[in-house]
Amino acid sequence: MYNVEATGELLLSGHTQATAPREAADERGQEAALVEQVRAGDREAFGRLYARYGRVVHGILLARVPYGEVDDLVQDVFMTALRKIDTLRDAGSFGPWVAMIARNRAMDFHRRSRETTEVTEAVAQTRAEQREAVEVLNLIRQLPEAYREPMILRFVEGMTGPEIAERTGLAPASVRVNIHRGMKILRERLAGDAGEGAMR
Amino acid sequence: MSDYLWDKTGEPDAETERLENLLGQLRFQPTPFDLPAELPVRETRVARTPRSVVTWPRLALAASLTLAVLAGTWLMLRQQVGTTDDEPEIAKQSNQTDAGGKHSASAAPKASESATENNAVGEGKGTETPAAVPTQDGEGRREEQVAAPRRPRVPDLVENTPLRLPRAVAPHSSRGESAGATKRRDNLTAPRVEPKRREETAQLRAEREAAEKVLYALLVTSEKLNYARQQVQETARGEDNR
Repeated sequence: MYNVEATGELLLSGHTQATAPREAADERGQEAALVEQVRAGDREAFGRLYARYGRVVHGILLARVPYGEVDDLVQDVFMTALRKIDTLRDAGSFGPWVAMIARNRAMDFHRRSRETTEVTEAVAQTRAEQREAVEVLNLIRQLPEAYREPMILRFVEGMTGPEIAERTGLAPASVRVNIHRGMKILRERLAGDAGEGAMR
Repeated sequence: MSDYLWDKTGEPDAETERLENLLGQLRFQPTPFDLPAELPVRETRVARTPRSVVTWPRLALAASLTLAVLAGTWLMLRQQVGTTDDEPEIAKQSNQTDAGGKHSASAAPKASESATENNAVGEGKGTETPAAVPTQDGEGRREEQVAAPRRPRVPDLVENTPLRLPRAVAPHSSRGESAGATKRRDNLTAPRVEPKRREETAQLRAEREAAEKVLYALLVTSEKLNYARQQVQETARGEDNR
């Protein structure tokens, strides 16, 4: 059983944090170069940014909108990013910027539609083998907001904690704590669901 | 210390691994991204200014101009209210003066009348009379000259103050006027020093009404600005979605 109450220990431990700043600086440099190339009209460069940040945008949207809607919204978000890339002041901050566009797009989606019906439809449309996955995903989406995004990026998109922090611009310590706490609550809820299933 | 949940190092927990495999089915599947025919290039960035940069200063400018116009209107209204309140009073005083002569004037006009006489005496002696304190004898006047600081005489005030007279009074010109005309004019201007309560009440009411009008105009302008802002935001959002 995980015991993640000692937040201080979590924050202090983690040997990857020592090398993280250098790697992050390299990543930022590459990212800035790609953004400049896109601004100069390089289509391939934008394709590379899409490949690099597609998972992040997908995960952020998955934490907020129904599964069936996510693919279209990912395209929307990247189209918006492409159109507004000239307004990005710090070329090395494409990740946090596109993550913010994705969050705003998800909010827009909820303003214009009713989530309840679409969730049911989305579950009905998924294949039988994906149904369990969608149910667990819905459990994650019921977690506190701060835990949802890192949990989905970690489990659905398969990213590591340092990757999540670097691509979204969130603090590594926060991501670490949120993943562990979110996992603890998810285990409890999964155990609760299993108990209810056995009772039935 | 290895922490599989954090950075996938070390031994994976069974449940973590199961969740990874289960939820991994929903992972992002990169689809070919349909890029538009032309990507924005740097030159267009220089030429195109973001909407927010253009719109907000314009709105702010429009708002400040509107406020300035409204403030000007309010001041004009206030001045007009003051004028319309004064005019009937002046006309009334003029009638009283014509009918009753010296007896209808109050203490203040008497004072100004005496001051005019004193001034004439002073000029006759070749001395300057800075103070306008009415005294009957020369000794008293001299004492006042030493003790009191120089104050402007009431006739001086009258001459220096732009006075809007009704048409009935207007024909009296300041040049070459007789002593009687000076007295009448002093009688006309003296009540302004101590305005009556009724006059104040009317003026206050008029001011309150003017202020209410200005507030209402401000409210309407504010609503219009809000509406314009909403329109701009909706247009911007519509363009973003497109």
